[in-house]
Amino acid sequence: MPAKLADLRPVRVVGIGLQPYSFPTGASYVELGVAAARIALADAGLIWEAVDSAIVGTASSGMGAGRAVTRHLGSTGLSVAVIENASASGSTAFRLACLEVASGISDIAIALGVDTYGGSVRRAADEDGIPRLAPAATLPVLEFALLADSYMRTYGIAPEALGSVAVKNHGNAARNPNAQFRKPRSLDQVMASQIVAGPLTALQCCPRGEGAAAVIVASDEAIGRHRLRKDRAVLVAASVSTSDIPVPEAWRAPIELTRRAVALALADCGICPDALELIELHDAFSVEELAYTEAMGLCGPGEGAALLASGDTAIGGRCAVNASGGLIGMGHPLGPTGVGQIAELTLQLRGEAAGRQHPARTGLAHMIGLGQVALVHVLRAPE
Amino acid sequence: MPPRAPAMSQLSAGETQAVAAASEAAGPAQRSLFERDGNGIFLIGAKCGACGAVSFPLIAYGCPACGAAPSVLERHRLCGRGTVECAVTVHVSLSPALCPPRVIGRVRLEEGPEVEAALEFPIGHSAAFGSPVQIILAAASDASGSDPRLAFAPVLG
Repeated sequence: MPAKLADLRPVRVVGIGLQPYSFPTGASYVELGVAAARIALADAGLIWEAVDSAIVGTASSGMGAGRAVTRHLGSTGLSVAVIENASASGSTAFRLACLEVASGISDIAIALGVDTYGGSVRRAADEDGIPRLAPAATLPVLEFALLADSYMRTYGIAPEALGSVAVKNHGNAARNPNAQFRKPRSLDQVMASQIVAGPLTALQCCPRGEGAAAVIVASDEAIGRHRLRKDRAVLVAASVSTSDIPVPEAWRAPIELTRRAVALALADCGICPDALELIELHDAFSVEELAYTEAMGLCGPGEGAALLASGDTAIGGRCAVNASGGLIGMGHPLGPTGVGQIAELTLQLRGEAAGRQHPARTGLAHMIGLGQVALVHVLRAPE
Repeated sequence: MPPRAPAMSQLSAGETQAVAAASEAAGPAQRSLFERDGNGIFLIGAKCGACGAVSFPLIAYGCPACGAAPSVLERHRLCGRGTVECAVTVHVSLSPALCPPRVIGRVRLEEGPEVEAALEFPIGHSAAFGSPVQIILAAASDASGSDPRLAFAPVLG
């Protein structure tokens, strides 16, 4: 039976760094990535020479991006690799960094997500040689608009319930200095924005942009050796990576994928959904947050809108969802996004999220990657 | 009562002419997806000799359900009829291949597979859940000069 993260030696997040997500500024991916890494090193109280391995998550930076970024931090001979896993590129970089430390291969590893808007994102599915009936069949917005249509009909959900997700997440993003969108939005504004596809309006869709996020993970031995602050170190309690399996109705695929990945992660660290107090989830499109909170077990099928309306998923509620603003509000620059989720959970679990602090001891990060894959991590507050 | 052959009558005269002039010409990428005879247009799918799954389209790489090698896949002609599972109108230009407004949906084929496709519903008809549809070769709906494309249109009767 395969091992789970909890079977290996403990891994803790010791440093985080972000470059604000934004519309294109003209900055290079190198500039963004190096800046985020330096902030993470300073946050941890580490020097670059202590880092054994760098995993760079990026979807558009091009071949050889790993050393193109890390050489400006120092040429120490560390292990460098680049991972691309669509929207989950950063989440996968974080997972691999954790596995390196947990396995003992590395003592300290950095996961660095970086992308610029001008980067050349090519969807591999567009070049898989399979003819398709639908024009633009592989576009995520289309897939999730169709999901929204089925979801709303199945559970009798009004379009405004989807819009309410965006209201909450834009409101949270307005309190996050690293978010791409910084304006609170009313339901009227969300619903009156440009209709994109089906029930999804523009303010219910995540923006693409640029940014960078870095997270440094370390073993307890390294934390002791480098005298790092354990009172700010966040335990990585579970790490799950999985991909879709056939479902009778295509629209349910990312929901079922989420249900399975989260159930595995919670089982791996021995907790139930009620123990979750903080979640950063893949809300590239508003309907996803409703469907995924149900799939994660926060409420029953079709009850996500009522859960949101109750205030349970607001900052200060029972389980804050997307306190960062999520992909809709904070933004979705691809490579950085999954790493940025971990940075947000770490900030919150340390009690350092000034302006949007939510009291929590246990948090979960969830990301879907086109195709589809799901990455889930569970983090616990410093002891 | 079996559904009547669909759709051409629901196109405008200009559109009908365009489809007729197009002869067999769907976009090159779609030519392997269908065949046409005196009885209409049929989709070309696959039946897996290992797991029995019927799939669409016929993929050269193997069975999408069980992963069996392509050598066990049999070419399987599908009737091209089904029902609408979901549909959305795309209002913004998401891709050069998709000029808005355009209705895209998923159709459950009578043989089982669920496929995503453009829906060609005449003005005044909504692509409602459960609507019976049949595959047609639709005229290019814009001035881009693009090839006619396979789409689903409502079945009358």
